[in-house]
Amino acid sequence: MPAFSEKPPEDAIREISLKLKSTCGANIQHLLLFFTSQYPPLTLIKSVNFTLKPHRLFGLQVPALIYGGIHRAKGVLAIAVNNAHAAMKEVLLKSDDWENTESTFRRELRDLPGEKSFMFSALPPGASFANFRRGVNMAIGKNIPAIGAGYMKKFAYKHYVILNNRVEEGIVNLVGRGLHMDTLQMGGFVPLGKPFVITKSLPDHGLLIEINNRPAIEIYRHYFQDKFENFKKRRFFPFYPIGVHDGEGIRMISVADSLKDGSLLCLGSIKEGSRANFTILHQPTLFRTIKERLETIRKHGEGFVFMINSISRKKILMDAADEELLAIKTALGDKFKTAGICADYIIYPDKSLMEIGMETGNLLLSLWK
Amino acid sequence: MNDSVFIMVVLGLMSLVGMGFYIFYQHQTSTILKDNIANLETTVAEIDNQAKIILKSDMELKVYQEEVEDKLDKLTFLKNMIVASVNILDREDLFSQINEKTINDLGFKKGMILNYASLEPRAEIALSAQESIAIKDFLLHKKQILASVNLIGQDHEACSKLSYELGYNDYLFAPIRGREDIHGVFFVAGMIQPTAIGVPEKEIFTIVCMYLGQCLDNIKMFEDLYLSKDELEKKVRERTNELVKTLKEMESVSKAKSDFISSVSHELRTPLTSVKGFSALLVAEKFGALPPEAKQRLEKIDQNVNKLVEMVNMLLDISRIESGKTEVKIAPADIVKLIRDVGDFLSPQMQAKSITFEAAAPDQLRVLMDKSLIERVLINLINNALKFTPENGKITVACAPDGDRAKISVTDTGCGIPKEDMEKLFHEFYRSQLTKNIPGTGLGLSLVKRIVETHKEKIWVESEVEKGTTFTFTLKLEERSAHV
Repeated sequence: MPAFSEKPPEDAIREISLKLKSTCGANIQHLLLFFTSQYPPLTLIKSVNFTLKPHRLFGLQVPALIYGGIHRAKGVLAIAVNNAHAAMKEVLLKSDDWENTESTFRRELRDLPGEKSFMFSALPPGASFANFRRGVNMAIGKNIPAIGAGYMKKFAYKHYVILNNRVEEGIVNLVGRGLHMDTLQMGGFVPLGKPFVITKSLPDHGLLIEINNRPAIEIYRHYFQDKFENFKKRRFFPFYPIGVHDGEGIRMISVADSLKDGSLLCLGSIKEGSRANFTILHQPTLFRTIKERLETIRKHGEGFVFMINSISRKKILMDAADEELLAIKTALGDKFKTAGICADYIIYPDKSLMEIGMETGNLLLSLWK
Repeated sequence: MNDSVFIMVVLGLMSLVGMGFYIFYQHQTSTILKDNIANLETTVAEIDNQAKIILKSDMELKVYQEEVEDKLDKLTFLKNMIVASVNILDREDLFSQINEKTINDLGFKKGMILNYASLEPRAEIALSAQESIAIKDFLLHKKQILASVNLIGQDHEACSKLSYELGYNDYLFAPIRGREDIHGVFFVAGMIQPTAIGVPEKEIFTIVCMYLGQCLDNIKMFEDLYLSKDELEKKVRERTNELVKTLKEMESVSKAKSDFISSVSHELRTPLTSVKGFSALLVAEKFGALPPEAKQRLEKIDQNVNKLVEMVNMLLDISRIESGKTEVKIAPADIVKLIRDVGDFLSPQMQAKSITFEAAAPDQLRVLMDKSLIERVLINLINNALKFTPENGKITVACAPDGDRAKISVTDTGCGIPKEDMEKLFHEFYRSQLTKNIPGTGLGLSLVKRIVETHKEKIWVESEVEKGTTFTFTLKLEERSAHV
């Protein structure tokens, strides 16, 4: 059950507390707290322990929140999880422990045996997604339904996380069982122009070296022609993600920057031989997709939808970014509560590759029943 | 044989025709396919060209959007900066507003503010020691350029050496100009966006410098105002101290005077009593008959001794009241009765001068007073009136309630008091020129004033020369009387 407030820290927690207590009762098992940089984590912990007193507290500082069908640059979003069948465990990987992801996961999850039904992860700037994925694959297995948020650059002085009553920094994970989660990605991107082939890449390093046997950057020169230099100077790469054709559809790969040798630094891996297209977000397609795909979900009951939106998508859509959220909220109807956070890239369960994937450009919807 | 040959020839010809047809058909199909492929390739190329147009237009739109967004961000930054600094009246507080965020909001990574005259840094953000030295050195030799322009950058001819020393050329200098002089120099460098410094960056930077100049002008005005206020306060304090000192001196002189009068009067009283006793006995011829001339002289001595005794008594009374030695017993009493008693007491003198006495008062009016002291007030005022009222004149003592007080006035039909004398009338030993020939000590009215003031009440005088004078004083009504 989500509750949101944008009042000053102590008042915000008081308001959230009143809302949650009226819907979930006084005894809250797990409280997930997402907050923007205006909210000092220590004040939040103090206020939460004074009012809500949850059994376990998990917090994450984020650049922006989603609530009420719009993006919120300031506020606190609290999600109370009261489920007798659910069990959760927090796993913190501090920066000096990132190389030991596998062993840390194994050690920390000893007291949570059995098959895990979900995982939420948050990766701060500097954390290598490839290392993280390798560690998780080996410790838990490739098939864990994982969602999460990753950050490329600092949006605040520090990226704080709250684990129970401690303020920490690092990769934070919430692993659990007993709760069922399904995911859905909202795209709206349409392929443009002639498909091209990835002829040389280093997937684990997110490096795209050659496209059609030419330096990868040349594909941009081909399309932007006289505007190419301005395009490069303004670093407009994230506005036009590369859509990789895989078995199930198009997987969005965002290009972060170009290197001097003409290679492209990507968020997400592209294997050699993959066919891909330039993509562009087409709003009519997006809003049509929202309506069509969420109609079926709306008809099948009620629940909570937690969204993770990528900042680059928000930037691409501009004013329409809030319209998209509102359209989702409207399409899901009153029986579904919606809330969420923003991230530089999203972590999602890649059903085609059967492992944890990362991408930017799409909006991830996780449906909790 | 011929038949078989014929058949074979026919078959051969037929297969040749068939092959010809087949080759023709194949050729036709291949041509169609080639055409189709060519068409497809043209279509794909067309799609690709369309994609180029779409992408280029979309990018242009995004550039435009980004610029609008950037301008909005800059406007928000300006608004926030003005809101944060509008009430700042301290230089240090103002410069503390120029931090990393401010420089970033301007679109740069590094920045510095220096005092224009001394080149002393007031704010420095993300600059290395070498960069600071290079900037200071540049300004030391070239800061005069900023006196006549609003902005200089790497494109200015004077900046080539600096660009070389800094190792980059995306920087700007602007003067922080006030109304009268240049307060400082603002330097920013290192564009956050990987683009060249554009017009928006230059404009916003110039606006910020102009705003800082205005803020510094305001601070200077406030400081000047504060200093002059401080100076004024200092002067007021000095004058107040001087006044307090003078007042204390005056109080001490006054006390010394009162003590002196008191002790002198005391010392005079004993011998005077003795002189008075003997002179009275001598005038009464208790020591034998006196020659008429001696008796006449002795009577003069006796009169003057009486005058002296009266004066000494009066002085003693004044000094007692002044020093607080006189015990004042304020109690409710009927002022009308007191007026009538005093009138009766002084009736012989009035009759002697054929003066009519009138008490214009209600039957009773109770006031809060020290009866014996107010009796002296009335005696002194009526006596005074008697002295200055010619024969067949009239003295009226009126008494009436006025709010919570009673107003008691003594009016005569005497010679009146000139305006210039009115203020000094209650001063000790003061005597008007008009009354010089009428005997008196000059202490009576002074004593009257002190007694009235002891009651925390007021006394005043109204007079018209040749027509008469009215002395009025107030006394607090007893609550019951006031109510009635």
